[in-house]
Amino acid sequence: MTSEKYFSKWVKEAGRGHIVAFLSWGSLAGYMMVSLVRLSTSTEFDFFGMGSRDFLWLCEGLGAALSFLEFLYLLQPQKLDFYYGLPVRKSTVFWSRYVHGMLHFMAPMVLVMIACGLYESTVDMEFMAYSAGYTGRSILAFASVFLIFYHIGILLLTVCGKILPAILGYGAALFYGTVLIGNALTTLAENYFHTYYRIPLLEKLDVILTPFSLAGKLTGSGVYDKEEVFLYIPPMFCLAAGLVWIAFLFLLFAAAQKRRKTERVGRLFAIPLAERAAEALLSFGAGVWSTSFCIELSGLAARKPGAAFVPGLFFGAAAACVVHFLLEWGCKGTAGRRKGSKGRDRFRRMGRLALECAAVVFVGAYVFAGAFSFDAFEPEEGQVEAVGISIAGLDMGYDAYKQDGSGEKYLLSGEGKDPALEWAVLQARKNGSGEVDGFTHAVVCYHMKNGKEVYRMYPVSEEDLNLFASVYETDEYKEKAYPLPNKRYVMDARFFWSDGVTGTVLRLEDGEKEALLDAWQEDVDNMEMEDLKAALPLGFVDIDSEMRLASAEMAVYPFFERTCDFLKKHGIHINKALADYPISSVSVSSAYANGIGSRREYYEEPVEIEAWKEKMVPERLDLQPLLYPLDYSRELKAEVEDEATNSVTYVYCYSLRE
Amino acid sequence: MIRMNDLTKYFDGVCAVSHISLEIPDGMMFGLLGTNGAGKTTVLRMLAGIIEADAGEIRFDGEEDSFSPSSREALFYLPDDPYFFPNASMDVMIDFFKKQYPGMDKDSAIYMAESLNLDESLPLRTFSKGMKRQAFLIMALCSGTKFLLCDEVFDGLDPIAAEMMKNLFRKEMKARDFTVVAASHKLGDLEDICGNIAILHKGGVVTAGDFRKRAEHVSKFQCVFQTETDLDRIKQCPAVFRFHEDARFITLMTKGDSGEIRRMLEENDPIFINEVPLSLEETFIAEMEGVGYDIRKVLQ
Repeated sequence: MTSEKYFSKWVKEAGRGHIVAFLSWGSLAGYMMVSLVRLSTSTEFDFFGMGSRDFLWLCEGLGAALSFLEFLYLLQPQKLDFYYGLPVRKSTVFWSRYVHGMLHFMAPMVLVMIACGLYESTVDMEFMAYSAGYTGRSILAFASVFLIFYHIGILLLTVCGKILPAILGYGAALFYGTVLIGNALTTLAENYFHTYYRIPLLEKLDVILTPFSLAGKLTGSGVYDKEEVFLYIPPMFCLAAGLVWIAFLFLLFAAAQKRRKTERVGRLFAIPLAERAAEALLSFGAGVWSTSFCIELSGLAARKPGAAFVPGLFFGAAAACVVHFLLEWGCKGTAGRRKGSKGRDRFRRMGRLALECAAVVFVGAYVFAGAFSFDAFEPEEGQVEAVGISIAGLDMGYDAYKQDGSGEKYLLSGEGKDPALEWAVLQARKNGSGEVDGFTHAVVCYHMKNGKEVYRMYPVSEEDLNLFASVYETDEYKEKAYPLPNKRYVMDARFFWSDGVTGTVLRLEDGEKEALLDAWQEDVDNMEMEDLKAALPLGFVDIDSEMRLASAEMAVYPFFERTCDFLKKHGIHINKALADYPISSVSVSSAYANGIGSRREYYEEPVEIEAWKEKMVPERLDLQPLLYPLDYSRELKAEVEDEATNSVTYVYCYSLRE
Repeated sequence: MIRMNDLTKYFDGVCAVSHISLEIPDGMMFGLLGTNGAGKTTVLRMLAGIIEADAGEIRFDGEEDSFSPSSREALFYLPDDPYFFPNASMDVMIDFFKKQYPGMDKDSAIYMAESLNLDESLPLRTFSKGMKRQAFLIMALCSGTKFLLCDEVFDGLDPIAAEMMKNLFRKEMKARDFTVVAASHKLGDLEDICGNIAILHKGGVVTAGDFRKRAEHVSKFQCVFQTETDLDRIKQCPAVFRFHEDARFITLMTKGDSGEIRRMLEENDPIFINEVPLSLEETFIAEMEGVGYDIRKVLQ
């Protein structure tokens, strides 16, 4: 018989019992039915391929399940004796099962993707243009996800000698990266680096080393916009990481299945090298995690870094020792013992244990020692391509400010870059000298010319906030902070005036729309940061369009003379405030002094309402909680009567400071 | 011929098989006898290619690569507790083995199964332990392979079934030239069917060979003597190596020319004297005398 026939015979033999086929074809057929029903009702937010979280979970689950179903025989001595006693190579049995499992996923998956793609083409005209590309990319992306999870399972079953360590090992493989990078190292960085905001390298590593995150990125599961989903291509580093996972795992289990010894079935690990690798990785991971946990728990890192550092490292090294000895105990201290030697040497590998502890101490010490240089970072001249900058509480509502809604909001690479860089470096130096009172904080991202992004978060004093005017008043910053919609697209858009209570349609000709945009642009150009301390916006001109580029909301301040004149000319009562509306009641909610729960009071008497209405500011007009702060200790709700429509509008407000 | 040369295997530092060298000629049923942990299964698993020896070599018919799939088509390994597919009947397993072993004779297997009242269409999981053993022994016999390795060969069979299986083995061995290596921890399973037997102990071969031939110089006498006979004189005779006295009924095991020994006994004026054949068990006892191995462990 030829080798091809021989192998195909074994691929067929691997399907005996048909469990893999039932599971894979059945679940994918079920998914197809559900997808077709969904697509028949909505194609806006339901995707059959990329962008579908359900399908991602299904592929991940099938990858894990099929690997265990196909390769569980490796942990069953009775089956091993049976198969290995037959006139067939061990590798033939192994690879035939590999091919069998893969075929039983790939074939139905490709069919399901094609069927769903064809169906969506018939019900969604918009999809037609993307159908081939989207379907093809989806097939590749989900095949990659399956292979990652399939290969992890195969590797674990090949190197382990029992089912329990294989399952626990699978869990460790899934979460090790995120526990080590996303949890332990990030926690250490947060505690020791005072200017820490985010470290893109750590975030990338977190994605790369965590199969769930990587799979999500490969399949665009976090993308919701229909067009973006249809055109989604995973980031290059994710594609590379996906390929490395698949290829590296493949090479590992290909080598492991050759070295695997049948007689080691029943032990924790079937390959001594895997035992040593698992011991090193788990001890190190546990040590670093425990160090970060101890430091986080003590809460001392910011005030007394040394006081947290020493016990943290001790705790970490102790945890590494505990995990090491637990694994040694689990492995029964026998693997790798020399032939003919007697007794169980539980205290072997002490050199390795010392290395594991040293690695934990090194990581902790590296973070501790690196804190100074991290916090004192100043880019050198000519290194920076652009500066992203955002101050918490500037040009954002109180809610966003409260939720630490800063981040890299405005990217400056033109005339705003130098003042922004100068201001940022000043903050870095002041932070280094400990002179800052921390009125608010700023997030700065230095986009380096070498492609790196360096993020820092600096505390900002009130004085330094005022100095930010040099950045705020540049045209580039204003362009970013007060973006003007693309004039080409706004002609078909609808314009509204909103004073925070009701909206009024602005009936404008094309020329008038352009004139309004020009007037507002000129007002913004002339605005100074100091002006924002004097007044709240009167309202907003909202531009509503089906096109994203044409939609906008333009805040209108009392000192925006040209805009105000334009609006007045078009019949808008720009000075109409909440107090000018008929208010039938006001409810005031204020938190108790202990911070637990809140008290709500209702005011319905005209005298009481009169007293409140002058102080109330609709939440929407609260744009500058730093420059024009309101009283945020109370949340107000005004019941405004609309006599024309005989309806009631509830307006959520803050009150002016007294 | 199966040749094992200096075969050694360690499990976690414990020596399971120690420098075993054996030659098993073609057409023979060779027994491996030993207590639990003696290394019988390990030897068989190494012969079957399931585990690899740490040292030494195994050759089937002198072939260089004795574990290539084509070489192993000539070898059937029947473990102590063989695996079968869930819900598979004997019929299904025969079909499966037929794909692996071109010489598998399905008709013979079914004929033998019927003769032993085994229903080949019933799932094997419904069979009792002994019935499963019979079924697999039949499949092994009918596999048509040149070499057959059986672990705990007749374990779980009742005496009648064991005898029937032994007869099937004898018939099959007469019908075609094949070699059987059968392991057991009970001498009774092997004594009346194996030509050669090797006794394994702590991974090593204590002794091996055709014990009947080797015991040709050993005789067993049963005698009754007069009360006044001096039994000590008989006991101290150099040819007598085992002496058992039950009242006046004496059982003797002797080495050397049985005629001379008989004459020596008759000189003591016995009331009754009779030379009886030796059982294999007694042969072993005779062989193992002085070696220090407690042969009774395998004499159940």
